[in-house]
Amino acid sequence: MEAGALTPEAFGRLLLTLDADRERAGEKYEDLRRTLIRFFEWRGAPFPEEHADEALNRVARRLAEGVDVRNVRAYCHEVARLIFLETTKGADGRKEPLDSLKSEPAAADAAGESAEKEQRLACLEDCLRALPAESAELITEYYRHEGRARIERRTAMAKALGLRRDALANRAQRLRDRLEHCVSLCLRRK
Amino acid sequence: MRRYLLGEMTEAERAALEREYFADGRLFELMVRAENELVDEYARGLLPPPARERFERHYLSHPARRARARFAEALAAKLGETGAAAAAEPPHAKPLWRSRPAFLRAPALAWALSAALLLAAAGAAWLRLETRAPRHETAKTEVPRAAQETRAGEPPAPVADGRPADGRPPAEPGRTRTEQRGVAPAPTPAAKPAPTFATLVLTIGSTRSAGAAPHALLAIPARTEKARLQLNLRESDYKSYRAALKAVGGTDVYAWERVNSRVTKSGVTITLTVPARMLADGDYLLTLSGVGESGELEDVSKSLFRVRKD
Repeated sequence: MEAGALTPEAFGRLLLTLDADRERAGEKYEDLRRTLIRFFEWRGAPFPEEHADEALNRVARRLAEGVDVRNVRAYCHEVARLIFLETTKGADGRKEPLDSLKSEPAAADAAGESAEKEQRLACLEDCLRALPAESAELITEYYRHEGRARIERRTAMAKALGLRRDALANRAQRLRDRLEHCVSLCLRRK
Repeated sequence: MRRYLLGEMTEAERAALEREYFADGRLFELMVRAENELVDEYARGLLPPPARERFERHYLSHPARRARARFAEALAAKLGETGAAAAAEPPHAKPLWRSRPAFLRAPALAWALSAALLLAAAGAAWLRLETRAPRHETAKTEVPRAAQETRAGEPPAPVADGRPADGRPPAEPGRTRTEQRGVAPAPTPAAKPAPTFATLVLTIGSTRSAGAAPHALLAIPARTEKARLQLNLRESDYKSYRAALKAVGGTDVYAWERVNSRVTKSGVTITLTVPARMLADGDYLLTLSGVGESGELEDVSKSLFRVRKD
């Protein structure tokens, strides 16, 4: 990986390239970071969040150096692919956690697994309680059903909320991401 | 998308899809949703065995993805509890979208049972066997049917509204059209014609349609070439459908992509055809998924039926 911290100027340049409006640029930055994290997760890279930040840093530095980037997201993808290749060739320099973790499910004893499940469920309940009531209601309703009932319920929800089904799906997805992140933090604390 | 998530794509296919989802934020959101659907199905035990095995071997090999699957398990467990509690709530305490009858708010974990309810919903299910050309006029109609059947998933449309195209009432379960017409069977077994299709018609309602209903049985006479599964829906919410057939407790048998529906007077019909040789005696689960406007997949129905080869 390339060394060197990101300067405020380089970061500012990246935001400006994403959008002239600072607030919208911030949102686009978060969207791009989220895409990068999933890319590394889906590819099976060892440290998705760190790789995503590394990709953004490299892109920001290139922009600060005056490289003309017409499509930031496409450029990010190319940089992310390069970083991924580096991780597979061991250029990362760190020990990858995958091999050691692969055997975790088999190694874990049943009692430990059961306790972990209970902890996760307790964390989920805490995180649901921490959400605004309407958000908690939305996510439980959105993901509860299966099959035909699920479709009918989602259609009814969208209608009741005055949203398109896609917009409702995005809202539910964001809530789910928040909830998942909250549960992850809660488990680390425990 | 599932092939990508399950590591079944070639490197070139992966890179192409990645370029697309980096360029199109909406596609990325669909990918995320597809991943959630996948982990939710795994958490609820709804993945067919080969996909489940692939999921466990590939998807769960990464710690972040494994954490996502465990989150889905916790969410499924929690929603199961919430669903049970919600059923006991007074109606006035519920938000607008929860104003539907309580039986529509069954716990998601009970979906496996809903397949049985759907089976019960198949109140109009009956078996209709079509034999090849006992009379000259029938032979004429069967030829174009057989030609249409070569296009998997496309409705050949010989039947509308659960009734034969000639407007007569449907055959009773286990009875052939030939029998209903009163046409005498061929005089000797050697001369008896082999059926072209064995057809099972399933009426897909919703889990509300629970009630007593006969078991859906697809009887396939010897030398039948194809089995036809006709699904009658009340309405069509999707531009196309995907269907998958698997043996209960066994392997995937057949899958149909981009299946179109056909609008009839009383609803929508989807016709699926599978070579009869691919079916053996036993129980089967047919899953129908709708493809939404932006490409996302949603389960529409799951139908259980039994195959008996005569």
